[in-house]
Amino acid sequence: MTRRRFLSLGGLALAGWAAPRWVRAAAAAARGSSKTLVVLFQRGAADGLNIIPPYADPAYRKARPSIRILEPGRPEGALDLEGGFGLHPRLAPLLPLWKEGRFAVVHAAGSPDATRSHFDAQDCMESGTPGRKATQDGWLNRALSASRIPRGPLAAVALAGRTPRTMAGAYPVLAVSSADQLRGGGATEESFESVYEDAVDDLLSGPARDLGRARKAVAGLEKADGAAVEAAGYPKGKLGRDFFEIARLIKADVGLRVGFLEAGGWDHHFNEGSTQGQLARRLDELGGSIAAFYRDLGARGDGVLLLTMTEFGRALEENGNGGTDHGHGSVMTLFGPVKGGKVYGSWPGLGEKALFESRDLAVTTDYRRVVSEILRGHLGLQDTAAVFPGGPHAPLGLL
Amino acid sequence: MSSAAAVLLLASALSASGASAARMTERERAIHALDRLGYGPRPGEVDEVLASGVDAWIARQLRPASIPDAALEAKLRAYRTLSMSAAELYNGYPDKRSRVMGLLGSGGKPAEVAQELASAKVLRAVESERQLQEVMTDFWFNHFNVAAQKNQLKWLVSPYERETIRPRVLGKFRDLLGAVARSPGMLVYLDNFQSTIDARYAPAGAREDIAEMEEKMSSGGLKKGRTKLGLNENYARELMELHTLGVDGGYTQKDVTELARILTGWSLERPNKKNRQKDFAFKFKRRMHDPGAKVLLGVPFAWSGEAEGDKALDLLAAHPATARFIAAKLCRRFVADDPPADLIDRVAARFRATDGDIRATLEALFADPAFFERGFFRAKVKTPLEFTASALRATRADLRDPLKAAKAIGAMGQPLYQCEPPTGWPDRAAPWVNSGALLARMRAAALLFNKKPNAPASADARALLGGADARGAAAVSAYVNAFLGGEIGDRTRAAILARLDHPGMSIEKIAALVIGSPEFQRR
Repeated sequence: MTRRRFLSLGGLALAGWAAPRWVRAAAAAARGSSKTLVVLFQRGAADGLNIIPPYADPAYRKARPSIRILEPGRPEGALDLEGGFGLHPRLAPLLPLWKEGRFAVVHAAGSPDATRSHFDAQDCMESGTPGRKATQDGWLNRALSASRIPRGPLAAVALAGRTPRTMAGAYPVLAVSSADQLRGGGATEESFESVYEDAVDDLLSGPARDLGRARKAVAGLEKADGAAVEAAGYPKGKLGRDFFEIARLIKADVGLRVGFLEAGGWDHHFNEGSTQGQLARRLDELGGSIAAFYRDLGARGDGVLLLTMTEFGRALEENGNGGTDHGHGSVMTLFGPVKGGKVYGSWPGLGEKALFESRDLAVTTDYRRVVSEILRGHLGLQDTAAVFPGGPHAPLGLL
Repeated sequence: MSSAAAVLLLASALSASGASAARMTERERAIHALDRLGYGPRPGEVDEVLASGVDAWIARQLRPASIPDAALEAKLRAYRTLSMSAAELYNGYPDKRSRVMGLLGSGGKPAEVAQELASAKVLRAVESERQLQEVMTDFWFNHFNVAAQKNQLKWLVSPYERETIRPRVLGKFRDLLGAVARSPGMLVYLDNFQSTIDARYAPAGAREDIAEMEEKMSSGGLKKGRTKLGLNENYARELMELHTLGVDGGYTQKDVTELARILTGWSLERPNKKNRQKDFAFKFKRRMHDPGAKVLLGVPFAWSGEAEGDKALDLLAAHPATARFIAAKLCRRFVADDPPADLIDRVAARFRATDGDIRATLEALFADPAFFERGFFRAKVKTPLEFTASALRATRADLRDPLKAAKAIGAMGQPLYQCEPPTGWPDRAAPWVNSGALLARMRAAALLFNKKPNAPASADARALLGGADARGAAAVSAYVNAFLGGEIGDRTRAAILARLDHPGMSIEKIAALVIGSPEFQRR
């Protein structure tokens, strides 16, 4: 037995009867280190009112004669959740997670910004500083900086061609479309890395070192083609592939603590449809991907919290093209270690007076409250004042 | 000791800020000028600039009209959309909705407009002799950023750069600001075209008119639901925060609302056969304008319709905070991420003294002793565009597919003309320094030399040796001379030399290592 091992066992034994604070802290840090946060941004304004339909609300039925989701029990009706809310039937693969208490919904959630412009709203939600456009970094990067998560080559990964706004900032983030992008080559990359290793360049040699380490960290991964993704039970397409990537990085223990995914295709001005149509197809992919993700992770999934968010929701009334125009409030969904099986948030109703600017679901839960609670409870931040300056931080009791 | 050296020693001893104020060598000055006023030196260009004199080269760049650029102009003619009006683009490159509804013929796809513009941007950066003009077009476009993916910007983006930005990049700031304020591109991007008199702020007498207009629009409109008129503060806010005063420029939320009220009615017309409107164009819509009294930054505004907006632009352009904000941005672009405060002060003073003359302001900046301080040599990290353009210039690459090059720049994190937020791309190193991005640069460097037929551009490593021995240290020196004006850190050079014995090393790989080196990531 090495001296180090002896000491660590001694420490644990000691912890059993009179744990000093540093031992508990170390143990907590060790537990904490297995926790991962995955954020999925649905770009294009996903329709919370059809994803988690308030089927019992008469205003919902009236406003969406051709595209609404029917009540539970009717043909292709909603899958009942609670309190008059249902699940879009094409999200059926997620129902088991709901029943196990590993899937929660926050309804009428969103940004305090009133804009109905995708780009303004994304910018606002991703910077996390509503009303202040000069902010250069994103809330998730500030959260990483405020956390005790050690900087590692694969601690923060965005599956994207460039660093997404949410992840931009001082904390080192790896932005790649797939871990396989890091593989391959070899001699050429090593040559470059060795040049950087010896170079006197404080700014660039760090990322170059991270790159070398990241490439080594993923070297053991098998190359994953489409067949491997499908074999693991993920649906075809980019979203399934992205969830597969995140799962394999988690399972490979390369130190992934924060993952960021983005999915487009939620801007359904035309043929949004009800249980058939554009939204239904998108939800097939989403539900199948998330279900496969937690199946794939197995017990590891207990430490992996997935949060979905979107820049705003869609107007209550359907438009003339079987779609919906830009609105305001939408839904956020949470998976994994959450108090699931519950719809959170206060429901503002869909009566004319309750609507935002007389047309959209109002926002009653600022997304920053949901995120703040996760950052504190799941990633161990002491407080989130630096992440959302001045923003609401009060927890909803999600964790 | 020679007398020249003694003078140098004395000069540095007298310098207030000591070592950091040391001057660059003449060769470094030439490299620096080519790096900062343009997209980096081509092989041999450092010597050319040295021969003509660095200051003379700068003076010429400040007068781009005097520099012939026919070869580039001939190449740009291949891109038809570059000279088309917004209406021609709108009709010739209809979106899906118009195609489906059969309203417009089946031309190209709207995305082609921004693609051609992006291709042209790469070509211009690499091949234009008017390097400073291209850098300044990039600077001001980025300052007054619009994103091609927002609504009609997919057509408007190209005329916006051509007609609004490009002709004014070295002119008067007030002219540029005014042209942007009236451009269909900015009116759409920051929503001012739909900002109207608002019952919350309008004088009591106007409220009935508002109700009547809402009623009319609701009954006549295609959209379901009630039409509501109201203020859109988007442009007014950015006009002060990003275009003029800066976020700490001393304005309040009340000023934002007042400026938005002043600018109500600054709208646009779309091409329309009924009223014979031929193109997208600025139009002041009197009925949308709030006629009430306003106060902006303490200055009262009596009703004068469209002229109120011009008065507000005059006020903002002449504001001391604007001079300082623009000077700081120019210094950040041309000098360092965190430029010295006294330099910003001097540049801002020149801006104010010349009534916002951009050429005169730049002249002062480039003539300032601080501009050539040694500490700023290669102090800036290149953006993906700067890296790509400088690599293609340094290697005299055959740019076979500019669109592919533009897409590669996008993959490195800078999709051209698609920067979503109104802030434009950041001009600091941190957002661009990322392991994934670095890997992309290394691979782009390798791809440049490996003669793959599908590469966006191809360079001939052997030809670039210029007759030097293809083996060992001589080859490294030849490439350092060609790509970096002969200047590279000793440790980088040693690290490259240490790789020469590795199996599989080739002349192409040595060249790629120099392009991928830390020194080449900087300007």
